[in-house]
Amino acid sequence: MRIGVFVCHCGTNIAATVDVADVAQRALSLKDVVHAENIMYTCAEPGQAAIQTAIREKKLDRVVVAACSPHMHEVTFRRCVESGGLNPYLFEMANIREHCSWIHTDIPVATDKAWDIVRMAVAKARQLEPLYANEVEVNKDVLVIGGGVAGIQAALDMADAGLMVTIVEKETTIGGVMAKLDKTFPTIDCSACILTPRMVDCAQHENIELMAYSEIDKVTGYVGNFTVDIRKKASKVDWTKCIGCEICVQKCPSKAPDSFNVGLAPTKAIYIPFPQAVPKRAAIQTEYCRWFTQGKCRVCERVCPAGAIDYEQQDEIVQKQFGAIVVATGLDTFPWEERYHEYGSGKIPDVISGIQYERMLNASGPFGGHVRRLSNGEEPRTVVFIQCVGSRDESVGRPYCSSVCCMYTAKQSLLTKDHCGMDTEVFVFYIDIRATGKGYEEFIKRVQTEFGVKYIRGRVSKLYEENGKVMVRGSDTLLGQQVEIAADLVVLASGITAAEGAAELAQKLNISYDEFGFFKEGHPKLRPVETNTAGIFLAGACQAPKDIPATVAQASGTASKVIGLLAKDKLKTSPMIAVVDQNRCVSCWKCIEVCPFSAPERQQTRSGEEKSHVIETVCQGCGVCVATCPVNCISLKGFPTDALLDQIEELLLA
Amino acid sequence: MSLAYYPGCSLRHSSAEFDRSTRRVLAVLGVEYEDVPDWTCCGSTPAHMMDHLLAQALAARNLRQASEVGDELLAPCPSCYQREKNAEIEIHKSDEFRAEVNEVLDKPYTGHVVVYALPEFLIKFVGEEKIASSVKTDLSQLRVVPYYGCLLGRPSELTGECDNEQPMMMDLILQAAGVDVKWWNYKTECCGASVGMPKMEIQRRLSGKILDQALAAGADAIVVCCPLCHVNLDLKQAQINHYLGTNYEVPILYLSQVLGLALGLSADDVMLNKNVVDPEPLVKKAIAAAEAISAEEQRKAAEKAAKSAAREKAADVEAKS
Repeated sequence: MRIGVFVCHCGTNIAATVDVADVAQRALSLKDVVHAENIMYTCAEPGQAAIQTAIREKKLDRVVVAACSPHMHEVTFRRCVESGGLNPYLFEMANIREHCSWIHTDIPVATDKAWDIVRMAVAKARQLEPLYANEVEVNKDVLVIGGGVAGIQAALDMADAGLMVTIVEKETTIGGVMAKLDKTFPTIDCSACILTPRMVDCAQHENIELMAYSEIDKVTGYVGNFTVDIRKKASKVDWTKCIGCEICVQKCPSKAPDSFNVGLAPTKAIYIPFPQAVPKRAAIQTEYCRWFTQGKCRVCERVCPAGAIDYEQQDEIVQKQFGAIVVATGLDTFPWEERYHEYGSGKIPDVISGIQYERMLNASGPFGGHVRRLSNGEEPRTVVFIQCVGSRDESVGRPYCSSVCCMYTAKQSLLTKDHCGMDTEVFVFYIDIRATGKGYEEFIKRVQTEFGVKYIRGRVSKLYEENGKVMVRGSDTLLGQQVEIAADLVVLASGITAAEGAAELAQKLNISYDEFGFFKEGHPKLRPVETNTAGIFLAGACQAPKDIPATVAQASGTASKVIGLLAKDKLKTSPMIAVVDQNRCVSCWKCIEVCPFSAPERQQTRSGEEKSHVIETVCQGCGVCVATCPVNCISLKGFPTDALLDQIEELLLA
Repeated sequence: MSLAYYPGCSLRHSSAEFDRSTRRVLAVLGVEYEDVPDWTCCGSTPAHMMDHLLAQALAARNLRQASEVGDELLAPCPSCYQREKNAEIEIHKSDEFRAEVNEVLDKPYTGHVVVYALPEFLIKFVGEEKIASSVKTDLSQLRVVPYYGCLLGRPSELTGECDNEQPMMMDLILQAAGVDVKWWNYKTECCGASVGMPKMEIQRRLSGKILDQALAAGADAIVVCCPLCHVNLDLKQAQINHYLGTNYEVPILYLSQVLGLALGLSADDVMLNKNVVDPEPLVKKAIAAAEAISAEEQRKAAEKAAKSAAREKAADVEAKS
C-alpha cells in the first residue's frame, strides 16, 4: 500500500495555528505513507496538480488531504484524484481547519491535535476500497408545491424548457400573496396587471398541469424518482362542469369569512376568491354552508346553469411520479392580534394590518379601492403607519427583518396620498429604513419629499380609542420626545412568517427548516436554491422573507437548477450505501422499521428464506440501519466498521 | 398548614375596605388563612430605593414569619406582593444570598414560602368554577373595567405567566362572578403612582385619562387591586376634576369588594362606605336592574308555560271529543 498525505496551509487559516510542515514531516514516519508534503492552497490548481503528480510519480494508491471540512471540498478532491487516475473513493479527508486550527490558539497543542487527526485519517485510508457509482433512470416530470409568483415563475421557466410540470396549490386559485397586492414598489405598477397574464399562461401551457385546491399528503422516493400522493380537496363543485359564472356566489344566502380579503369583508359560503382567479372555479366552505350545517337550502344547486354542484364530492388522493420537486409555499403575515396587546389585540376597528390595507387599496377589493375607516366608513384624514410589527422584535420571538415592510409601507403611504388627497396627513413610525434594492432608496426619498409623508423614528407604545380617533402614543427618538397623534386609521406593517404548515410539509419532504419555519437552503451562499435533500429545491419566501424581484430571480435560478438536473437521462447515485450480509441476517426487519427512505426490503434467497436487502438506488447512506442491526450484518460502503475501530485505536493506543 | 395572610400597612389603615372585603371573601370561599404573626414592613419604596440588602431582609423576615403558618403567602397589596416576591425569588435561587440575608436577620429564614397576589391566588387556588358556583347576587348589570396598574403584571420575570400588556386574571375572576366586564386597552397604563406628591399635575393628567378611557369603554366603575391606584383614582378624583375641569363621578371598587357583593356579602361587609366616590347608588341600581330583568324573564317563561299548557289542554279536549 502506498499512501500520500497532503497538508494544507489554507493561507493562514490553518498555518497560523498548526505547524503544517511539522505535521507533513511526521506523517512520513507512518506505516504505508510514501509521500507527504505541505501545500499553500491544496484546493487551488497548483495544489491539485501536485496531488496528481504525486499519484503518478510515487504510484500512490491512497490519498489523504488534511485541510478543511469535507462539506467544503471533499467533492473537489475526489474529482482531483479521479483525474489523477485513482478511484475517487480511495481518498480520505482530515479536517484540521474547522475541527482544529479555527478553534485553537496554542500552536504546539493545535499541531499535536492536527497530527492526531491526520493519523486517524491515514488509519481509515488503509481500509478503503474502490467503489463504483450506480446509475438510475430519471423521471423528467417536476412537482411545484405552491402557486404563488415563485411557483408560477419556476413552472413557466421549466415548462418552456420542455419539462412536464404539475403545480399543486392549496387554495382554489393560484396567484398567492402577490395576487392580493394592489401596486408594487418602487414602480407603482399594478400587481394584478403583471401577475394575472402569468397565471393564465400557467393554465394554458401545454406542459403545465394545474392542481388547485390540493395538498401534499405523502412523499416517498429519491432524486429522479419521487412518488407523491396529492390530496384533491373536495370543493363540492364539479370543476369539469363549473364555468366560473359566479351566479351561485351572488345567490348564496350564507356569509363566510373571506381569507382572500383578510377578513376586511365577508364572502359567501360558496366563493371564488377574486375576478381574475385561475382556475376560476367555485368551492363551498362547508362549515358555513346552510346545506351542510342545517340540512336545508341547496340554492347554488338550483341556480347553477352548468349543473356543477356536487354535495357528495369527497377528497381524492392522486398518486404521481416526479423527478424533482420545487417547494414554493410562500409566506403568512405575522398574527399581530395575538402578540401585540398594546396595539389593541385586533379589537380597535381602525387598526388594520398592511395586507388588509392592500385589499382596501385594491380596485377589486371589497371597497372597490376606496380607503375608508372600518368604524364609520368615512375617508381617513390622518393615517399612521407602524413598521416592524412582528419583525425585529425579540419580545414576540421574531428577531429577523422581514425585508419588505419598509418598502411596502412607503408604497402604501404614497398610495394613501393618491387615494385620499395630498392634504391627508400621513405618518410612518420606523426603527431604520432598509431600502437596498434597485431604485428603492430613491423611492423612499420621493415619498418623503414629493409626497410629504412624515417619518418619525421611534416605536409606538400604545394605541387606544378616544373621541372616535385612534390615539397613537410613541416616541420620537430623534427629538427625544413623546409624541401623540390622533389618527383615523392605523396600518401595522405586519412582518413575514413562514407559511402555516411549513414545518409539517418539511417533515413530509425530509428537508430541514429553521427555528421560524423557513426552509433551509443547502448553503447560504453557494447552494441558495437547493435543499440538503437531493432533487428538492426552494423558491421564494418559504426560504426567507423576500420581495417580488428577489422571489422571481430565485425561482428562475431554481428552474435552471432543475433543468440542469433533469437534462441527464440517468443519474449517478452515491456508492456509499448500506449493504446486507445475508448469510448473517436473522430476518428481524428492524432495518425496515428504522429506515427513513424505505430502502431495505424483504428478499427471497435461493434457499427460500426471506432476508433483508437494501435497494441500492433508494439508500441514502445515512447509516441508521447499520447502527440498528442487532447482529452487525449491515455495513456502510466507504465507512467500514474496521476503519472506524482502527481510527479509534490509532488515537488511543499510539 | 394554612394560607398565610399578609395585610401590610395600607390595608391596616388607608385601604381598610380592601382588607375587610378580602378576608370576608376568603371566608365565604372557604379558604382558611392565618395572619402572618408579628409581621413587619415589606421593605417597600424607601428601603428598596436605598439599600438592596435591607429591603430583601425586611421582606425575608416576613417570609420567615409566614413559614410558621404555611408555605403560601397572600399579599393583597401589589406593592407588598412585589417586595415579598422579589425576596422570595432571589433568596430561593441563591443559597449564598440567603446566607447573606440571614446574617442580618434576628432568626434565619430557612423555608420556601411562595408569594401570591390576590388575582393570581384566586385563579390558582379557588378557580373560576368555584367562584361562579358561589355567586349569590346577580351583578350582570354592573358594567366595569378592570384596571391592573403596573405592579401586578411587571416585570414578567417576577410575575410569571401574566401578560404584561393584556393581563386577564381580574377579567376572568369578574366574569366568573357574573359581572359585565368591558374590554379596554388601558389596563396597565400608569396612574401617576407616587409622582402625585411631588408633581401633582402629572398624576391628575394620567389618572384623568384612565377615568376617561373607562367611560369610553362603556364602564360605570373601575375595579382595582392596588391601594395606590385607588388613592389616585378615588380619593383624588375631585382634585382631578378641579384640575382638568371635568366632572367625573366614577366609583373605584376593589376586586374583593365586587367579588364579595357577588358572593352575597352586604355593602357593610365590604365597607362600601369607605370609598370616596360613593359606589352604593350604582351598585344598588345595577342589582335592581338585574332583578327586574330576571323578574321579566320569569314572567315571560311563566306566560309561555301557561300558553303551552293551555294548548295541550285544548288538544286533549279535541282528542277526547
